[in-house]
Amino acid sequence: MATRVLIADDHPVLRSGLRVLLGADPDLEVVGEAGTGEETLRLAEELRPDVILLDIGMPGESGIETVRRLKAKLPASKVLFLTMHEEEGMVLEALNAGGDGYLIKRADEAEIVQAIRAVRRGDVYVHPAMTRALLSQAETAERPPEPVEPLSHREIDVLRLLARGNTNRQIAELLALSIRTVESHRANLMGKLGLSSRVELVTYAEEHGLL
Amino acid sequence: MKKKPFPPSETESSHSALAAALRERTAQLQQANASLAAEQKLAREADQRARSTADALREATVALTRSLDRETVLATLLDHLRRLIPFDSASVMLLEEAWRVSVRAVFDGQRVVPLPPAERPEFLATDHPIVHRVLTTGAPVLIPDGALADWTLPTGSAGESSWLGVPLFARGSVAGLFSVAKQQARYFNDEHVRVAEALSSQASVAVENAILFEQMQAATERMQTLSHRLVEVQENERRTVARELHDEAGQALVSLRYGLQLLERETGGEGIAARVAELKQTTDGVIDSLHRLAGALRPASLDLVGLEAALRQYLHSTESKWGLTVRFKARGLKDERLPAAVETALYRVVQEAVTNVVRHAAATRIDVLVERRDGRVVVMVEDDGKGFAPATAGGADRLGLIGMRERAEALGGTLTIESAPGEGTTIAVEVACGDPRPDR
Repeated sequence: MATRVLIADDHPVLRSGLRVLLGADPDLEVVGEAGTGEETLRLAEELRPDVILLDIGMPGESGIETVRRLKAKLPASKVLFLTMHEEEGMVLEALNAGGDGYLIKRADEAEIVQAIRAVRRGDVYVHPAMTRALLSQAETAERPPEPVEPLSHREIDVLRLLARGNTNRQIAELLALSIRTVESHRANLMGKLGLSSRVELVTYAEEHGLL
Repeated sequence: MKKKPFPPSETESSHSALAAALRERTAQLQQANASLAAEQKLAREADQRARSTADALREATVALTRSLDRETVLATLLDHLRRLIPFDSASVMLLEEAWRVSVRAVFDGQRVVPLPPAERPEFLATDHPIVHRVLTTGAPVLIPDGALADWTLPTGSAGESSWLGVPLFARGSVAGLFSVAKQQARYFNDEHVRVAEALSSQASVAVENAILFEQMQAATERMQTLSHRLVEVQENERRTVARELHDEAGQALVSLRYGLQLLERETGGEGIAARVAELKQTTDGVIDSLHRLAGALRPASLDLVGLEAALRQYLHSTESKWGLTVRFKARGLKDERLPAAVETALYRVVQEAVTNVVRHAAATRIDVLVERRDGRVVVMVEDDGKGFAPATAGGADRLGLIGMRERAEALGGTLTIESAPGEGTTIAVEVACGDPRPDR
């Protein structure tokens, strides 16, 4: 049985181009076109497509809002984002909101068809150029090392305040120390923990329940 | 000295004549002495008065120059006037545009009261001949007995008979006047006029400074409003252009690309297929540069997703473009969007700070931390570059820092810079972000 597809995009020229392209594939059937999020929801309920090709930048609510509402109403429907946006942050947001796939519009016809099949099967499909976004998310999850030498109470105080986004001067004021002393505590604790930067320090504090 | 009485003798009469002469002479001397003492006392008193007047004037000068706030200066003027000239009522008036006169401070019987803008009595100078005369002649006017003269007081309580008005000058022309009044007729004398004039000339510099300061403040305020407005307009413009590029031009190109794909499928000839493939590539190139352009103007993720996503994207591209290690961490941003103005400002501050690092710091790493807690959000940009002495950052650096500070202050926030030569730089911006984003 052919996969039934709903195209949601606010550009009619683009929709019809896509319809012609996809229509040539015997396994696909374009069952409808929607121009807004509202219309997408209505047609999805009415037509029960297998896969919805969803644009992000539509007038009114964005595709990201639409997918949330779609998934709440029709959890079984598969949503494949087909968008102009090639920003990495967008991919994560789109998938977190409930999207099953993320494709950029300049993808070739073959890739679009492949992606539709993948999400129909229940897989997640992300355009290769965008997968790096998912990796960089994994990178930040790497665990910092355990300290070679235990931190003093003062160093833990300084660590906590540094991790909360305080400047050296602010910490000096909060702990009634000189800025020089704060700087030396900071250098010592970074040395003990083998850390070299503020972000690493925040990650460390986070992992050790210091925040 | 011991007094010895003259011994009695036959020359009694001549003795008594001598005694009488002596008594007379003594009396004369005593009288002369007394009048000399009285004169001395008068001179001393006059001297004391002059000295206390001079003291009061000097103190007034010091007090007057202590503040740049016009109302404070004018109230100080009246306060010191009280120590120099006794009066029942007094006021300071300034000449505004079109011969309007506004009363800035009054003495209400007990104390000097500066008047806030909404409570200032105003009148036309031409409606009050006496005030008009002070303002036009630039000379003091003394009304010894109001009951006899045909005049009306613009201010002060009823029943005052003596009135003295003294002009105030600023930059060589009359800027206003102050007046004192007394119930008792013919109370003020030439001495009072002299003292008042002396005080007026002392006050002129202070009044002039205060007026200039007020004008400068107003100008600064206008500048700030304008600069905020400019930032807002620029941001909206960027958003519109980016969207236009992305959505309109971009989508049209994508449609074109679909058309080319169809054409590719339908044409049989090798040559044509190759040409179509070439056109597709060209189209892709144009789409790519459109993306870069739109993203550089204003990333769509800043509107559609949020600050964290927009920064992640921006910092990632910085890392690959400049070969720096960029670490990024955002905490507390997941639950609820920050107000749109805060997001935009923080994004631009980070952009500015990172640009500065890339241009000047010779750093190998940049850390960017965004931390939201307790209704506040802190953004820190930290590098391991060569640092600088914050007080001496010149040129473009300075411009960048000013821009960042302005963005922070426009949101009622603060910008802190910690840096020293050889020790890297930390830039921290902290703003309040209590309200959740009203829409989207």
